[in-house]
Amino acid sequence: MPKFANSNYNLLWDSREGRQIMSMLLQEEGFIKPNYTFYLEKFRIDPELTPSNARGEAIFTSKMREANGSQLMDMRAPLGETRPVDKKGVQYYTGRIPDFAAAGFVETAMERRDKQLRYAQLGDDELLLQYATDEVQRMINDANMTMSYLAAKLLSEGQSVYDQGEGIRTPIFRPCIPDKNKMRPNHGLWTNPSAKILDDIAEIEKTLRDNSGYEGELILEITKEQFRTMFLPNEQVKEWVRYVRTINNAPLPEGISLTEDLVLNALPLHPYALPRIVLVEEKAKDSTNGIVHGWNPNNVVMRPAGYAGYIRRSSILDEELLKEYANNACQFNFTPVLSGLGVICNSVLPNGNFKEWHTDLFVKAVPTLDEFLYHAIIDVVNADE
Amino acid sequence: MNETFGTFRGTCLRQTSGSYGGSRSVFAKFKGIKNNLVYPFNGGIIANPPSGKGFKVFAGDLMEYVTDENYAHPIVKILKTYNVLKLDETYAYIARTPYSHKPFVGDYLGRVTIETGNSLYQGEDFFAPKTNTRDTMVILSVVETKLGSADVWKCAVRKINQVGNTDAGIYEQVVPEDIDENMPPFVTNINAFADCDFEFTEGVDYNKAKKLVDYTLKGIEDTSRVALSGDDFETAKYLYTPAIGGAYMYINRMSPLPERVKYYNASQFRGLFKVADFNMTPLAAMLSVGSKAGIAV
Repeated sequence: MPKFANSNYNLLWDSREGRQIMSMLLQEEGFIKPNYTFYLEKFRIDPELTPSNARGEAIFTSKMREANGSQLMDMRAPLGETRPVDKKGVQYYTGRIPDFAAAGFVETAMERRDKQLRYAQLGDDELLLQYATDEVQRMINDANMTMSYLAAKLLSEGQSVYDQGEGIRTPIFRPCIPDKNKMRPNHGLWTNPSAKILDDIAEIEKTLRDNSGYEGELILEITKEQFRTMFLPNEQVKEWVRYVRTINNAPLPEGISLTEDLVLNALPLHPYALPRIVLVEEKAKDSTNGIVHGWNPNNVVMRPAGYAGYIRRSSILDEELLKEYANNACQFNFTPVLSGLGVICNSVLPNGNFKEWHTDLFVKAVPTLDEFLYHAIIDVVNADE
Repeated sequence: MNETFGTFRGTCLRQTSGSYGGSRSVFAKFKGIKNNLVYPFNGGIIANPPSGKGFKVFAGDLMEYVTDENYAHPIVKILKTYNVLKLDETYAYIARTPYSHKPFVGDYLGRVTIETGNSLYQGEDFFAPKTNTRDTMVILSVVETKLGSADVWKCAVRKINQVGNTDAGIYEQVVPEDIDENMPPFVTNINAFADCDFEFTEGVDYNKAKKLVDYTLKGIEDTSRVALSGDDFETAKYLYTPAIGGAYMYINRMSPLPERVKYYNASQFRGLFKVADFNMTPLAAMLSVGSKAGIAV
């Protein structure tokens, strides 16, 4: 067996080989699992890094042009001149990409000695596996949960606000979703089983299309929990499902509760040609606060099918500074993770007469909404003020 | 064109002049292994950003890095100090050098003293010794001008707490909380400093900044939590990590120090200031601060 100093575990912190071993660890099948990836279903990672300006701000801009400029023609007599059209401006919003960090891992010399003793008994794999599952996996989960939390908040509330963790809590940006895209149902609150949910969906779709001029496919995004508490007990939904089953010679017995499958199979047959219903499932398992949802439980979302925007990302100042100007007494290596959204920094630092080993995960990225003119948020729980 | 930037169709002739790139070497030069550029957990949101554009913070400016009792949800406060050269009935003349903190309309200034006696560190909070503020005033207008040969900001002020016309001296920014009472200073406990110069490019109204700081401090479980409005997204939020190491700084190259701040000097060298070292035990810090405050500890 090679010496502990040459073990893969120990070399993870090596300034030359560390990055390679960490990459191997991240890519090895079955080691690090992608959990909490809600944000990747709804957003695409920006292939370009958003550059930081001289002031260190990574400013992104999202622009959209209103495609709703058509008018009926003017009737004219021959030789009459035309009337000049007003030019539409471009709707835009900007924001700055914030920094996030996962709780870090520290190992003192005494703890490492313990690892060395275990290495003699159990070998490299045990140490690597423990490190991968307890530390790297945890940090990757933290980052994924954070991005998913922000993504769900952005989709369901139309704003990016960070109010979790032990660090800074602050609003980040708010895309300029037009006020008319913030709606409420007209046929009763959805929490009430007698609400005409299907009529509402059809009406909301029509309003959104009329307001925005969007002609493409729309989807209605609703959480599983909202679906369970609002759709399944709803009388109009029940009635439609029963009808569909009856005309297909598979009637439902009286008193049976609806299931997700029954409803999702019956709704596409509705003559309203309702938008496709997409069930979203987003949660973060925070060890302090328990299960946390970024999705606002009062709101459902209607928006164009497909990705809602980019996850804007930028380079991390710590990495840039430490790569160039790190103290020779310290060792650093950096491994990009999460498709470039963040970086794992392994460092060996002096602590008194001994060394100390650190692992940190930094992320500088934020999901941004790039279809904001076509994005409707419907508060289905609260009555109009 | 948009609300902030426009274009002009003709030619706009103008020149600007000035200098750039200069800086003041505030840190005393020692060879040896230093541990000064050490940063605390996460950095924080700046609680007292300036209310107008162009406020500069200089290397060596003192700060307070504040967290809740669990060392979480940090905020950063800047000690803004002003050298008031002259006071008369309606005006305060504040020294304007390239290294002065710029006053803004609406800033509250005052002179703060620590309540000495046995209560200094035996109060409710070790980190917030009791203070008294007197000579408070609020700035109503700011004009760049000269007082004799000295460059000054001539500030119209409304005096609040018995400022005499002769009470020139070092003033610091205070929190406009109880207008007629004892306004607390922004910075009560000095534990950090700026490691380089920087400038605030945008001003933030005091009440807006306060709201955002409240937002950071209140947990998600707190039902009284401030509701956000569109304004809060457009307001600048400055997130900054000060250094907490024990750098030695030339006092004469720092921003002017109010008398009470000198109690926080952990340096045993004359003319140098040191923020109590982050390695220092509370007892050592207490002895150091206590002995300079002239009290028995």
